[in-house]
Amino acid sequence: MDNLLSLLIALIFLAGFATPLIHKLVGKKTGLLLAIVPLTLFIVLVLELLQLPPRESALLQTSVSLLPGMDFAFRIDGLSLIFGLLISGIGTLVLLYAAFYMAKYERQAHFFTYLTLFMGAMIGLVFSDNLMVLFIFWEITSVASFFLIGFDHHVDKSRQAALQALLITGFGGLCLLFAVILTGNITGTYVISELLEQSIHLGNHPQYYLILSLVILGAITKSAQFPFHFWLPGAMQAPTPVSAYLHSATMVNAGVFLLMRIYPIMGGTMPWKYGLMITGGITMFLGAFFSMGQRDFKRILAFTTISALGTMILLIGIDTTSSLKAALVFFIVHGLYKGGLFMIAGIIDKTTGTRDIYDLHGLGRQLPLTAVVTLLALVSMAGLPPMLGFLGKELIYEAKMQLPDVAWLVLPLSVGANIMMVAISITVYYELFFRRKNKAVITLKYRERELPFYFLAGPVLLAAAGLLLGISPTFLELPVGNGLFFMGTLTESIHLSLWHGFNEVLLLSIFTVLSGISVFILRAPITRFIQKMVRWFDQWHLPTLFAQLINKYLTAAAKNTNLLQHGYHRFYLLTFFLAVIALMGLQIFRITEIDLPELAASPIKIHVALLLLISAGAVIYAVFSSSRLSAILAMGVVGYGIALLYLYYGAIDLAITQFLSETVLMVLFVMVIYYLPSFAVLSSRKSRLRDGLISLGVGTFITLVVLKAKFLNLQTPISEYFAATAYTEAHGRNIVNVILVDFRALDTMGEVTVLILAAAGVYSLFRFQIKTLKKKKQNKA
Amino acid sequence: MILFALLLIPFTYLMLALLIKKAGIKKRLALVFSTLNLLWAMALIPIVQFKEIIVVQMGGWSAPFGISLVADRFSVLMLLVTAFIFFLTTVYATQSVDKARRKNGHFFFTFGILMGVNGSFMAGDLFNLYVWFEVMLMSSFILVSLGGERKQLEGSIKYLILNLISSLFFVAGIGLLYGKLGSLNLADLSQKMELARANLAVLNPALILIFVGFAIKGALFPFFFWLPASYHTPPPAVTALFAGLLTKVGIYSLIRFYTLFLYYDAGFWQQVVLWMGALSMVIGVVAASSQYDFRKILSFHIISQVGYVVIALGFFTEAALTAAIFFLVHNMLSKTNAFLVAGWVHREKGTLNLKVLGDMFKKSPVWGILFFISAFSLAGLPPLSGFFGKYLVLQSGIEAGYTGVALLALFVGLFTLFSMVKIWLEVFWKKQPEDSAMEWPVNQKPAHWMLFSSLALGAAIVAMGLWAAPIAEYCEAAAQDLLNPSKYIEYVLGPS
Repeated sequence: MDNLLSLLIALIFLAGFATPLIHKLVGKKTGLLLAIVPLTLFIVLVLELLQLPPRESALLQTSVSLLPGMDFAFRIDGLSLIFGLLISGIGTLVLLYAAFYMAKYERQAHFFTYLTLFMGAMIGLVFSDNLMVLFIFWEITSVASFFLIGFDHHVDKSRQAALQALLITGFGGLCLLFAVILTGNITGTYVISELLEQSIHLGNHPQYYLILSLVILGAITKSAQFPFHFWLPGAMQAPTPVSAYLHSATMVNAGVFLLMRIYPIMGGTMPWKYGLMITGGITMFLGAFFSMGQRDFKRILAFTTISALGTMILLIGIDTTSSLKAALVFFIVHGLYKGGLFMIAGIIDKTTGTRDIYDLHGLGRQLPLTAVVTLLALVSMAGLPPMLGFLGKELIYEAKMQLPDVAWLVLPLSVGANIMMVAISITVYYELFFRRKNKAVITLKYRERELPFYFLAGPVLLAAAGLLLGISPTFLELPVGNGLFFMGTLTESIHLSLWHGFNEVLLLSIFTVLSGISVFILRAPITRFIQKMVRWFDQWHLPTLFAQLINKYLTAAAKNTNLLQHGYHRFYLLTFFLAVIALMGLQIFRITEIDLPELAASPIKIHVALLLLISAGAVIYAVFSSSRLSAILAMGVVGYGIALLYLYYGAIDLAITQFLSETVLMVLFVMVIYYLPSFAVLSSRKSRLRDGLISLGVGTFITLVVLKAKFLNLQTPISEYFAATAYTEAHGRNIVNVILVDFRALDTMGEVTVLILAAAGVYSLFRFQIKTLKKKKQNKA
Repeated sequence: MILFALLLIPFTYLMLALLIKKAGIKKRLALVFSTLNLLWAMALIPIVQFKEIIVVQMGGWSAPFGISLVADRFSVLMLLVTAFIFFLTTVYATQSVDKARRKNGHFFFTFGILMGVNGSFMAGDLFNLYVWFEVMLMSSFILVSLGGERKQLEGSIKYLILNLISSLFFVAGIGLLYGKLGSLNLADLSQKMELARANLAVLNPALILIFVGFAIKGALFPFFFWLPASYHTPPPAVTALFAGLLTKVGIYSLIRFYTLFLYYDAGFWQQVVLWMGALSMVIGVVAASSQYDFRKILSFHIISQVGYVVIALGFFTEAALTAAIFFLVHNMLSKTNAFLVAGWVHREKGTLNLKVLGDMFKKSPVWGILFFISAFSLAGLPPLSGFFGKYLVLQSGIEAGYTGVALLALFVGLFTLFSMVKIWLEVFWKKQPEDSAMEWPVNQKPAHWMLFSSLALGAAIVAMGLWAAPIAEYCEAAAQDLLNPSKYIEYVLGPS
């Protein structure tokens, strides 16, 4: 039973990779067929939930290990069960829904591949028992969502949105990776169970602040929190089934899950509390506020999601037992209604062809089932009884009222956000389903009866679940209690009920609803006001700013690259030599005493000195000569000078070689120079001065180095061995020859190869030029 | 013989190719010999596992007097990956490189490169290493300019001259070092340095010259200019081969040199290496993201990725060297494959300008996935090989206490991701702009061998991610040997 889960996770991935094949076999029924996999998982998880003793966790080891310490192991506990149930449950419905929704799209196989892989990654994320494996799944969700958001990749907006989502969540992912490695480095393990069992808390470690900021960055980028929230409205470019899934149970909720998961390890400190409360609070309010100013149904929903996630983050930040409980319940509430609402948005889009709620009206009579379901979902969103949303909101208010010091700030923000939620719920319902006489009746592309049952199943079942759980929330007591236990905050069991008695929380709720209704009645001026605000805010329209930031970065990068990779050969050379001087300089700097060679020890003979003088003079002449030919001849003088030096020191072979090569080179040069244009000075005086200085610098350094060389000769150099054994063992009298063809024959073989290559290369280059080939072809034609 | 064969195989091909005129036979021979080379390199793995360090004294002259060929685990791994990449690029080139180039010695010069690279990975002698560098330089220079297109010649001049400077520094350094220590054998030199402890600083100028020689070969900041100036000019199959092998030889030599010599003076060298690595990492990726040419992005990007290896070398712990080796292998595979995909795009559309291209994913999802695998592996996304490379580098950096450098490496990853996604969006997803769509004849010739090569490399990248553990284990054993130069010395010089 237990390892069934590991198998099922593997099966999801397998199904994902096999989707193109499945699609070839069954065509449009791919979605229906694929839904079997998450459905099985859902059933298994339900069984697991019933079977698992309270406050127990089951560890499933697998034999797969990526690196030491990075083992694939899964853990079923209260927390992962809640998330897993929602992911697999809503996943099943989304696949069914998509089977019809996507029926007319091209590249369905791709779509279902991405979606299934995304689902698998999300399931893996919540169940993995290893922080590193969790991270791997985390990244896969980012990549998969990139493909889903950019699915309509011919549309510029889609690509832009996909890029932004990937960069933001990728940035968060990197932060998370670093935090995980740091954690592993401190605690010596990535295994979550071990971390939990040993009740390690990092709060006192000097790197705690770094780790915590990185983790929070990871979580809030994924969960679309201010100021990183803007990728989420952009992500609506994805087909609606994806939005439904992304918003309700996956992706953005991964950040919330992460925070809950690591709460026992690094939660509960002051920076944790205030960091999360500030981001969560701002996001909660702004999201709700801006949702009122939108026209597109999906955009409205996207902003309410941002707000809802802000609420969850805020609740985690408040950090009391009741707030964590509220966060967990609210996650369920939100998943149920948001998944349903997005699917409804898709249904309306499919049947009417638009998502602009102000263009629609009077759908109540034409789409009766949809109307009922929407009502239930919106009631839940508004936090009204008898839906589960009411319970969620009550818990939230309760948690916030208990907040010791900053309740005066958090509570009004929260009530304000909820008022807007109530108002937007009523507005949406009114605009969509009430009929207005002055408007023409909307013509539908499909009637409700023509829609297949599996297309409608999603919203209906989700709304029903919300209603059921709202009426009898005791079902939730066990999983939520277990979940809380694994966040390490709960000792006694919890009770959930719709009716809490007549208390200040209820009063607050009533106040919220009444205010929400008044906002709805006054919606015209309020919407105008908010739209004005939105426009005002739009001067900092974050997606645009982000795109501009990227462009600015690109221009700056291009500019700097051109500065660096400028294409001027001489400056490249200059850089090389300067860098070498710098390195040498650093080195010289380190040696305190530079002992100059004792010149007296080796008296210089007069003819050697003369030779050197002549060579030096030739060099100077070559530099200042204005004729190429005489410069070359001067260089020849230097070459012969060196050869003579060799001769003087008894290296006859070397001398002969030098004489020969020098002569050949001279001849070649003279032949080539004949073809060159006449000599001209193109560089300015200044640049020549600079080049001269650098050359002198390099020369000085090399001279210093050679002078300083004071040959160590710690042991006899190997040349003495050659002298001793050349005749006795290698049977040759000429030591140089013996070295070349025997002792170091491999070098010679290499050099011979170089020569062959060079010869063949010269031949090929001369004979074969694409240009001349083309010309020849043209001539023939 | 076990090691010498890896020189003999390409050498034999060179000799045979000189005698044969027909392009078809040359091609077939190239396939046979590259297969042989691959098989031989594969056979070395079990041998090195058993022997730990394979040493061959050429001509029977005992070290340090003759020339030693040495292959430890690190070398053998490099040899194997080289052989693999070489085999696949050869297969790829049979369809990708035009017939005129093939007839005029394309394979001849690629085998020259193979000989040079194989030799460099096995050289146990400083001057011998120089010789192999020359072999490599000569063949690669001719490959860059073969065909004589205008942009090729411009690139090849920069390539040649800047690389000749590298040789100049290298050989000057060898001369100085020989003058001081009287030996050329790496093991012998390392041992003599141990004895010369008190005078180490005197040796540093020579070491600096050699170090710069390697840094130029490895395209490290500020010595990388030759690479972006030339890599986008020859046929893509050539660039793919270069990207997989050439800079990596420089880095291999650097690692070898560092673990045998430079570590004696770690106070100085660690700083140098870390700074150069970090700057290469950052500058490479920034420059890459600013480009609008498929191959230029990838070329600049090589600099950045090489930086990762070098900072890992700078951390200088066992874990860090493991990471460096792992990363090097990953990078050779992923980078080559990215260039192979570029070659396909070039063949289909006749250009690699991002602004003009588009819709390649629609054209062929398989090639699209292959690019995705290579690019996202380079960007370090799990579960591909690049992620584990990056993870090992970061982890070893944190462990060694270089949190700052590790953080830098981390965020370089984001820019890498950006530049890779840029290619993806522009080349594969965007609709091809109609006004700029060039007239390019639809290529009727089959490309299945090209696809085969790329698929094999793609599979290797994925496999390296899925089986990261055993590969990392091997790299760890290699790193242990690297950190224990006395073992190397003992194997080469014999027990003292």
